[in-house]
Amino acid sequence: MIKNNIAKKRYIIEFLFKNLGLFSIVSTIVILFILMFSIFSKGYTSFYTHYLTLEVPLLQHNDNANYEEILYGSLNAMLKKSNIENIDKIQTSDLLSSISISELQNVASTLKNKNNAESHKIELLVSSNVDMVLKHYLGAGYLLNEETIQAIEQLKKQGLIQTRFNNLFFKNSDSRYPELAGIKGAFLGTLYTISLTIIFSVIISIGAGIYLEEFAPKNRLINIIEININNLAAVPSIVFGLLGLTIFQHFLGVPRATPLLASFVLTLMSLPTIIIATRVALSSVPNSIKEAAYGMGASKVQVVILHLLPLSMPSILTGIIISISRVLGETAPLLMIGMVAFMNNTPSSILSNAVAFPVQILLWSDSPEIGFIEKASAASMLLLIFLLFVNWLSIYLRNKFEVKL
Amino acid sequence: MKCILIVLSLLIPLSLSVYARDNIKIVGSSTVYPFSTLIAQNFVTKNNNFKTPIVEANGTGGGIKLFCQSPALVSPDIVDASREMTATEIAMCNSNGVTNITEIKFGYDAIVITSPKIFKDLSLTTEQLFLALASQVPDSKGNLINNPYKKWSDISKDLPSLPIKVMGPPSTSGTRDSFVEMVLIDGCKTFKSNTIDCGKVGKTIRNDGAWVSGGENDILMIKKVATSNNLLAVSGYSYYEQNQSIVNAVKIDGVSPNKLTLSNKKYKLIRPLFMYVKTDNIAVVPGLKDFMKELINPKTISDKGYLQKAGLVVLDSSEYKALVAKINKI
Repeated sequence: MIKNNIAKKRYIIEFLFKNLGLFSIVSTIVILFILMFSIFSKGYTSFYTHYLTLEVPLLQHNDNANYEEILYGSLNAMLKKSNIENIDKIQTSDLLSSISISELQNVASTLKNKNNAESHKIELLVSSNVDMVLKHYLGAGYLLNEETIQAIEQLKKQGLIQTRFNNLFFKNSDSRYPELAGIKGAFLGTLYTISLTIIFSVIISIGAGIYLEEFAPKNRLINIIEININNLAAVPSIVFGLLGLTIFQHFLGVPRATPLLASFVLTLMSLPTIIIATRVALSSVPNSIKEAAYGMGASKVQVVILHLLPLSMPSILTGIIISISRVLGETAPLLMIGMVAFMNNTPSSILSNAVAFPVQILLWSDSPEIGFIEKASAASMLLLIFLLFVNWLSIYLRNKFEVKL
Repeated sequence: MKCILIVLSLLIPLSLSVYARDNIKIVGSSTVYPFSTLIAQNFVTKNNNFKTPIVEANGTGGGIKLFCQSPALVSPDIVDASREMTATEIAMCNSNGVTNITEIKFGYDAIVITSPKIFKDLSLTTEQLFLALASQVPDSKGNLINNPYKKWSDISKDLPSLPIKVMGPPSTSGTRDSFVEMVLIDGCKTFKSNTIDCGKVGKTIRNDGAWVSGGENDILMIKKVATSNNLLAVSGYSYYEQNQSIVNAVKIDGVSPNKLTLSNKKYKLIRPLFMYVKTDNIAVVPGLKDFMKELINPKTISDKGYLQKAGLVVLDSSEYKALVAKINKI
């Protein structure tokens, strides 16, 4: 009877334990799913945009042409032709994107030799507010009046407003006009920064890890260094930004807001993780291999380079990739070195001013215009996809280099 | 090997420090940020040969600190400010060698107190806001006591019976300074008491939870207001204008902020916006002069210019003419 009770108790505990684990897994997945859903449902609209087909009179290219007049003249003509009511109340100047006039100018300069047509149809990007109306983010009466919104819906029905893939989102850099904003600048900025960070941190931290694990004498100094490295892994990231500001920027004169400066700061941040990973990987190589190599007359350097390093590479790679994917999403240290700023240039080298991907998301989510909400979500989507790719790569590389002992 | 490494590590920074700046650097107020970035972008579209200016938003106070750091090119050329530079700040600038500064008043911005959509037609006076937010307020006899008001209805019976909770920018923000100046100190002065030093009493905002510091992020504050049921927030007009679909604006002395009440200055909480430029840098930094020209272009800051579309209250014509004359003189 007593025995039976104990068994029952054990079964209950086992059942609870198992289901507690299951519960935590399920709740993690649910939270992750909610996060993903909120980002994706807001962000996917950013990948398409709307163009208005406009019939413009034959454009004679000369420097005196008033393209603004031509644009609004043909816009009004088109509205009349499409039988839209209350044309005088429509906010015509808010319909098209801010680049429409220069776009018209470009079309004119390419068309100047073809004089055989009387009018010409061109597709012009609509303004962000119109885009927001068509994507149901913006109602009537706030930024656009009732009449304008009705006109937009009419034009859409008549097929004059078309949906197109938003290639500007990939071709352009940041812009203060949501319809023109893109991620190219931020993408390149992150690419430069992360590549440099990988180069610097891998060289330094694998070196440090090997020295500490294999060559360092066991004395007090080394102990202090070890404790400090472990501590460094827990330092808040903004502290590294402060360090970058005072040491690298002010003292060494590395130019502010450049990928080079950012990579120095992020290298410091990623060092402890990779050093610890390297040391753990090296120490997990069985002693027998080391001793066998020594027994065959190998030198210390040969043992490390030919035997220990190849065997521990998969674990080191995992460490590197974990640390890099953490650094990839970092904004706080970049704030201190001036990378949280508006820049609509595309960085051309490691010494040109650039923003990073997460910073771009921060800037967009901070902007007053409602058109930036979907941009911020879309950029988050791309960052998540990129992180997913990096993590897949880490698993792939680990499996590839794994040596069965 | 060691020697080479040491030499290299010394040479790299040296070669970098001679790197000259070929773009304009702007820092400062997050309220001016949307406007100065718009000017920056239009400046580059028109002048392809210049690099894009870099615009950072770190608050008026923080921006002025960077601006006044040194006359050298490491420090920015322009600081955006949502209030006038104070005498102490000018003194700090001068003592660091930054002496030749041009002040540009390029427009006005309104401070808006946003409320959740459920509050319809909430109207407050500066006196009520002072009573709600100051750390010490006068009682019925005119003596200063610690702020006893917990609910809006404690201040006036017409107001809703909801706890006082107002979110606003931190103390480095120019918007906060203007809010203190225009609302709290002004509200304090309505008591006309000789014993109360309004400059001091109005400046001390209560710290028992009725005032929440929201950081330099107007959008975040507006989102928080939209999802709450009793939170109000202090922010710039452009942020409110773009988000009218999710928040309402509190009327100040019965006037709600909109294009009309702002342009005829009926709405009370209007403050000028400034840019301060290092005059000596105009000859040194490529494009700075053209940037100034873009700023005073009628298509930028005049009526129907692109800044007005973004929520700026434009200068009246005499102020505009004076500004153009001032800049052309440089």
